[in-house]
Amino acid sequence: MNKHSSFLIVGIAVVSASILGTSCRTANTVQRKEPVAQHEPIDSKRVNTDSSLADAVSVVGLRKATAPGGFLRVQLDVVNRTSRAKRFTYQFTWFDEKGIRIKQGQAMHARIHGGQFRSLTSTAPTPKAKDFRVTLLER
Amino acid sequence: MNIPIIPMDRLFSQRMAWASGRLAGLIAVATLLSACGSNPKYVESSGPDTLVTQNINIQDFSMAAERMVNSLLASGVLEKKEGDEPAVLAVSRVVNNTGQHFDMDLLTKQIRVSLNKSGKVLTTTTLSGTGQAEDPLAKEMKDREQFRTGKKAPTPDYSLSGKIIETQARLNRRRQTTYTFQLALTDKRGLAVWEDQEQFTKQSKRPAIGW
Repeated sequence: MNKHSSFLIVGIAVVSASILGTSCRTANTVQRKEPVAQHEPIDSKRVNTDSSLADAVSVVGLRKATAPGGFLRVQLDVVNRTSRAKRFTYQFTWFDEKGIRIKQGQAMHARIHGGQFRSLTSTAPTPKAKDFRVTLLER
Repeated sequence: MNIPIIPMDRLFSQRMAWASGRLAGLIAVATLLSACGSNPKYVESSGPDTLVTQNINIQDFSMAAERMVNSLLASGVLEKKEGDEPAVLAVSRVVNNTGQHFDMDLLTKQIRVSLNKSGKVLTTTTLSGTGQAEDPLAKEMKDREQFRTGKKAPTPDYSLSGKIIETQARLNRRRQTTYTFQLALTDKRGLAVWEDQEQFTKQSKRPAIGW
């Protein structure tokens, strides 16, 4: 192996290591072992059409609460199961008790690091809103 | 040395072929370039396909308004008014402290509409932070009604005020802009019963060549 080839290999290795080093920054988390929060979980139905997004923004919990005045509050707990950061949008749509759409919320832009947990919350626009749907989209 | 002699008609046909090949190439490139453009299309204003630029965008106002309304409704402050009557809200000044010019109604109107639809708040259009009625005709109607009945119109229960602040930072070729939306709801006693702020930070990288 000549001198030029060895320089080239070392250069490629350094560049690759730096690329991998910057893109694979993952999150470490710590929390209470036995959470004291009283969960009000919701059974969910999921339709995944983007498997890479489903890994990077994996839904691990869906819970609800009622705010003063009867406003439904919903929280979606997601975790990034990959080692790469992901940009995505989430959008809540609210329905009344008959299933008629009341409001489509603003698409919210978000970013999640590898291994990070995030909680995405929203409050219903009116006490008449009884149901919801959340759409996750890769950005 | 032998120089090949090419007949004139063959030379002419070769040049024609070269020229027509080049023309075809140019046409192909032009076609490809023109195909790169696209016709205008509708995208959902509240959807994920809106353009994101370093400046303040429509979705920044929408995201701020939505989060602020979420926070306000979840706080339960508006439930503290006695009786079933919705609270009356007056919109005071929301100051634009950014270097950009935009209509502040992009933020305040969305908040007003959402609060109105929640059924918890009614907004007055005859009183505003600028000292002038938003709807002069409505103010005249209210004044006439007051004169006719001798009853004073209800005074607002709350005033909504706020500020939008822009801060910038640069590091090498990276540029960062943060937009801070601050809002406060003040009651008749002059106490801020609800306050919140939302920040949106945008980063972009200048290309190595050009701007």
